[in-house]
Amino acid sequence: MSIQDLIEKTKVSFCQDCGVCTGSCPVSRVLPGFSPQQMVAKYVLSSDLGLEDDILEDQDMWSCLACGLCLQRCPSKVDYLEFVRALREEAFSTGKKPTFAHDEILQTIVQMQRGGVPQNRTAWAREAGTIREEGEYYLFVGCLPYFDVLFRDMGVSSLRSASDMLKMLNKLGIEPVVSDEERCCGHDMLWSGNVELFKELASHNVELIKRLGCKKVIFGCPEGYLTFKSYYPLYCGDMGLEAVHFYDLVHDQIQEGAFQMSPLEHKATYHDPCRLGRMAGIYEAPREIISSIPGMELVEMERNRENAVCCGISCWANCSSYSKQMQMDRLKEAEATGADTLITACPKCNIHFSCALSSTEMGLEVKDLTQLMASAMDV
Amino acid sequence: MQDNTTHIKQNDDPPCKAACPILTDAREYVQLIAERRFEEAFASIRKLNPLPSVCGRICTHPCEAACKRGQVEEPIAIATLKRFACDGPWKDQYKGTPPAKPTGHKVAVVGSGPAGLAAAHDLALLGHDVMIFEALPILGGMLRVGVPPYRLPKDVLDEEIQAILDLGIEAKTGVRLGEDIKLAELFEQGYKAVFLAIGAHKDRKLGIPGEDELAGVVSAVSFLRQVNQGESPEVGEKVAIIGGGNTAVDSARSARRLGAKEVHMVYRRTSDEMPAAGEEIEDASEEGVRISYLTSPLEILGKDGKVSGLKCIKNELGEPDADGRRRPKPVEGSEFSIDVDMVIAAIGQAPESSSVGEELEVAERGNRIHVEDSSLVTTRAGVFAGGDAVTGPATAVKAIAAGKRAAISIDLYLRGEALQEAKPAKEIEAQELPEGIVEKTPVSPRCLIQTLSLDDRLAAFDEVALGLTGEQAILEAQRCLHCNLGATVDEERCIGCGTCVEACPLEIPSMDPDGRLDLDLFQCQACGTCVAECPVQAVNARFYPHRWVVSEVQKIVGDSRITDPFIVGLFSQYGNFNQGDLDALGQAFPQIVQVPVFGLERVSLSDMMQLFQLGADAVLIGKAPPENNRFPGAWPLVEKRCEAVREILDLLGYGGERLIIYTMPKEGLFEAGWMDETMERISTLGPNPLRRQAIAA
Repeated sequence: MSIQDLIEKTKVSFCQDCGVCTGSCPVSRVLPGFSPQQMVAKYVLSSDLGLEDDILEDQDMWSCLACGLCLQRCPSKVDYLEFVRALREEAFSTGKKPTFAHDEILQTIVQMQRGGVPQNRTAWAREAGTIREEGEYYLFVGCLPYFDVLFRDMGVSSLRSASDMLKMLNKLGIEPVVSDEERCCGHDMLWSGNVELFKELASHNVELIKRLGCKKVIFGCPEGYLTFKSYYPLYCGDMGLEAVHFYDLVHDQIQEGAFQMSPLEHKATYHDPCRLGRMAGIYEAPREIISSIPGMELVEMERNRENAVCCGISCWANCSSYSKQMQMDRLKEAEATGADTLITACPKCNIHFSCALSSTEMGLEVKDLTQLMASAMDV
Repeated sequence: MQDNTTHIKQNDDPPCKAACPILTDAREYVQLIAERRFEEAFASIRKLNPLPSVCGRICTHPCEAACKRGQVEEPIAIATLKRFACDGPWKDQYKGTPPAKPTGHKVAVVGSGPAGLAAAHDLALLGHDVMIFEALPILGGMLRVGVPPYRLPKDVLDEEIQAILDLGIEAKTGVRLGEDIKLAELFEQGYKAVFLAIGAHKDRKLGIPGEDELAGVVSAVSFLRQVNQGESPEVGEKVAIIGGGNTAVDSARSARRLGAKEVHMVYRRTSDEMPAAGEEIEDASEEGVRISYLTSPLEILGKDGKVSGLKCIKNELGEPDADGRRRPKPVEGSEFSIDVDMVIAAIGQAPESSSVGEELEVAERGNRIHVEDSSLVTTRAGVFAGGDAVTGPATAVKAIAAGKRAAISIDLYLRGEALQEAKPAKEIEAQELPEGIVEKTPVSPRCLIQTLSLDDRLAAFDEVALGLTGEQAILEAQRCLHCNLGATVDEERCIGCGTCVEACPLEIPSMDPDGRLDLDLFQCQACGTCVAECPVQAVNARFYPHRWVVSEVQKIVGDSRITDPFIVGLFSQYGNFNQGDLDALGQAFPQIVQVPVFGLERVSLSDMMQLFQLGADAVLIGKAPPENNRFPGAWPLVEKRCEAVREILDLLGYGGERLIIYTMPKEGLFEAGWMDETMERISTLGPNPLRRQAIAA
C-alpha cells in the first residue's frame, strides 16, 4: 500500500490539528520532540511532496507505544494506531527495524519456532495438572515458557502464571488442550511491521487449534487475546473459533462461588494493560476478581481504566531511558495510592514494572493477577 | 596489502600511541599480533615507519613508559613485539608505491641517518625525485656508524635501507656538504629543495690535561665509527669510558668485545640521572663493565706519551641546573686515580654545522642548525633541516619523526602552498588505575627476552637480544589492556537498571542515585561482558562491537562456505593454541567454521541463539584453560548464558546438546580424540531444523 493510500485509509487527513493526541500521549511527555499530531502533519506533508523514503527513515514511528490513548480521544477518529502499524509494515519491507530489547533474543526465538519440529513447551502442564490431546478448550500459553528462562533472574516466574491458570481451569472441570506445536501469537511481529511472518504464525496456530478439535481458545495474556480476537480474523477470515479471556471465564465462576478463597491482606492497585483495557474493553472483570479476594483492598490510581497509561514499551522495541521514565511515573502513581501491591494482568507489564522497580527503594510489590488469584484459592 | 583491521577503529589515542613521536599505533599492531595476524601487524607498523626493524631493536620506546599495563606489573614489551612483527617472513608483503605520475621536482636529502632516510622515503611516496648525499662511504648515518651490530645487525639495516632505495631513490656516498658540494650548488643543479639531516657526528672534547697529547685517548664517535665499519681498532687492557649516555655504553660494550679486560665507565652524576637506557646499562653490567657514579675526570695521566691512568674526583649533587638535573659538585680532597691504558671520551656530540655555517644560520649553542619553527624551514628558502643536526643528539625515532615532518613541509613548499606548523603533541593526562582495578587484573608477567650466552656475546658482535617465537609474541601481545577501546554508554538509551554494574568483572561502572551510569573508559579493559548483558543495547564497546561474532559467521554463510554438518567453533583467543592448530583443525574438520573470539565474555545469549538461527547444527565453545582467564569474575555469567541457551534450545525442540562447551587443554585446541567423539555426537543430532527445511526447499 502506498503511503498516500494509507493516509486515506486511516483517515489521517481528517486530523484537525487540535493536539489532543499529543496532550494525551505518554511518550510525548518524556521524549523531546515526539508528537503524534506533528508526526501526522509531517508524514502527510512528506507524502504530498513525494518524500516517502524520508518517512520510512523516520524513527518516530518506532517510538509510538501503540497504546491507543490518542485514538480513544481523537475527535476526528483518526486511526492513528493503524496508521503507525501500516507505516511500520512499509518501513519493515525496506529493511528497517527498531532496536529490540534483550538483544533481540525474543525475535530470534520466534524465527526459530519456524523450524517445523515440535517444541518441548508443555512439560510443565503435565506436572501442574490435567491436559488433553484433543477437546473443546485450547489453552494458548504463548511466550510464557520462554519468558520464564529469560526473566527468571528478575524474580518474575512467568511459567507459574501458566500452571496456576491450568490448575484453576482444572478446578472448574476444564481440561484444556495445550500443544507443543503452538507458535508465537504474532503480536510483536504485527506491530513491528513483519506482517508476512504474522500471517504465517496466525494461520499455523489456527490450523493447529482446529486440527485438535477445539472450539474455544483461552488466553491469559492480553496481547494474545486481542491479537487472536481482533487481528487474526483480518488476516485469516472467519476461523470458527472463539477467543476467551481467562479472567472473563474465571470471573463468572467466582461470582457463582466456584472457588473457596482464603484471605490475603493487601492494599492493592490495578494497572490496566493497554491491550486488555482500552483495546479489548476488559476493565471490570480483573477488578471484581481482586475485590472478591477476602482481605484485599483495591484502590485506584489517578489514571485508570480507559485513561490508564502504558507500561512504557511495546513489542520490545526501542526500550530506553524514556521507557524507564514512564515506568517510574506509573510506579510513583501506584505508590501514591498507598498500595503495597501493584497488580498487573499482562506478563510483559509484569516484566517491565519488575525491571523498573528493581533499581528503586520503593516499598511496592508487583504481582501477576493470575498468581495472586491462585494463592488466594490455594490451588 | 591494505589495512583491513575493520574492528579496530580510529579512536581516542591510547597512551602508547600518544607517546610515540611518529604516533605509531602500538595498540593496533599489538592486537593484530595477539590475533595471530602478523602480516597485518607488520603493515600497520610499516605504513608509518620506514625503519621498523631498526626501531624494534634500538627505539627507546616511550610507548612502554606510557603503557597502562605498567601500572599492573610491567608494560607490554612493545618494542620487542615490533621487532617480532618486522622479523618474520611476511614482511615483504607490504610495499609502498610512489604515484604513477611523478611531480618532476628534484629534492636533495643531505645525510642518510634516520631523519634523512625517513624524509627520502616519504618524499618518494609523494612523487618527488629524491637524491641522498652521504659524507661517509656507506649509508645509514648514526644507525650505521654509531650503533654497534650487537644491538642492530648490519644486515637488518641494509635490508631496510634497500627497501627505501627501491622506491626509486638514488644515493651518492662520499660527498660531504660544504667540502665536496655547497648548498648553493645543489640549487644550481636543479634541486628545488634540500633537507639537511647531517646528524651530530662531532665529539665534544673533555677539556682536561692529557687529552690532546697522549696516545690512547680517542673519541667515542670515531671509535664506534671504526668498530661499526668492520675495523677492529686496538683497545687497551684497561679502558675508561667517560660519559653516561648510550654512546658511552656502546663504547664500553664494544671495548669488551674487542678484548679489553677491564672497562670502567666514569659518570659524574648518579644512576638516576644517567641518560643511557636502563636495559643497556644492565647488559653492560652483565658483560663486566664497571660504572663509577658521581665521578668526574680531572686529568689523563701518561707515561712515555701513552695513557697510563685517569685521575678523578668524587662528586656530590648540588642545586638543579637549567635542564632540571642536579649539578654535580666536586668533593674536596676526594681525588683518586685508576690504572687505565685507554680513555674513550663520550660526553656528547654536536652537528658538524661549520659545513653550512656560511650559508645558513646556526645556533651558537651546540652548533645546531637553526630552524624557524616546527615546519623545519631554515633561514634559507627551500632549505629544511631536522634530526640531531637541529636538536643535538637525540633518539632514532625522533629523527624519523623529523624526517617525516620535513617531507610534509617540503611537499607543501614544492606545491607552492603555505608551510604548516606541526600539530602540537596531544597532551594525554597520565591517569592512574585505581587500586581495586589493579588488584582484580590477573598478573601476567612480561615476556623474558632470551639473550646470547655471555661467552658468545663477548666473542663477537652478534646480536645479543634474541627475538620472540610466535607463541611468545602472541602471549605477550595478549597482555594488552585495550586502552580506550572499552565500553561507552548511550545515555539516552540507558535505563539505569544496573545490569552492567552487577556484571562488570572489574566492578568499574557505578550508578548515582538518579540512575545515571558512570563508566570510566580509562579503567575499562574491553572484555565486553556489559555489552553482552545490557538489556537495551545502551552499552557498546569500540573493541569487537556488539554482534561481531554473528556478523563474522554471517559473512561465511553469505559466501556459502558452509558444509555439512554446519558447526561453529568459538575458540577463546586466550587458549594456548597457535595458527598451526587452527590450520590442522581446518584440514581435519573443514565443516567447523572457526571464529577465534577475543574472550567469550563478549558473546551474548542472543549471539549464540542467532548462530542457531543462521542454521548451525552445533556451536562449540572452547574456553581457555582457567589459568589464562583474563576476567575470572565474568565467567559465571558466561556459564549462565550457556545454560539459558541450552534451556531455550530444549524448549524449541532443537535440543540443548547442540551447544557444546569445553575447556581447552594446556596446549592446543583440544585433547587428542576429543573432536572425533564430539563429531560423532553431533552427527547423531542431525541437522538444525531450520537448515533441514532450507535443504528440503
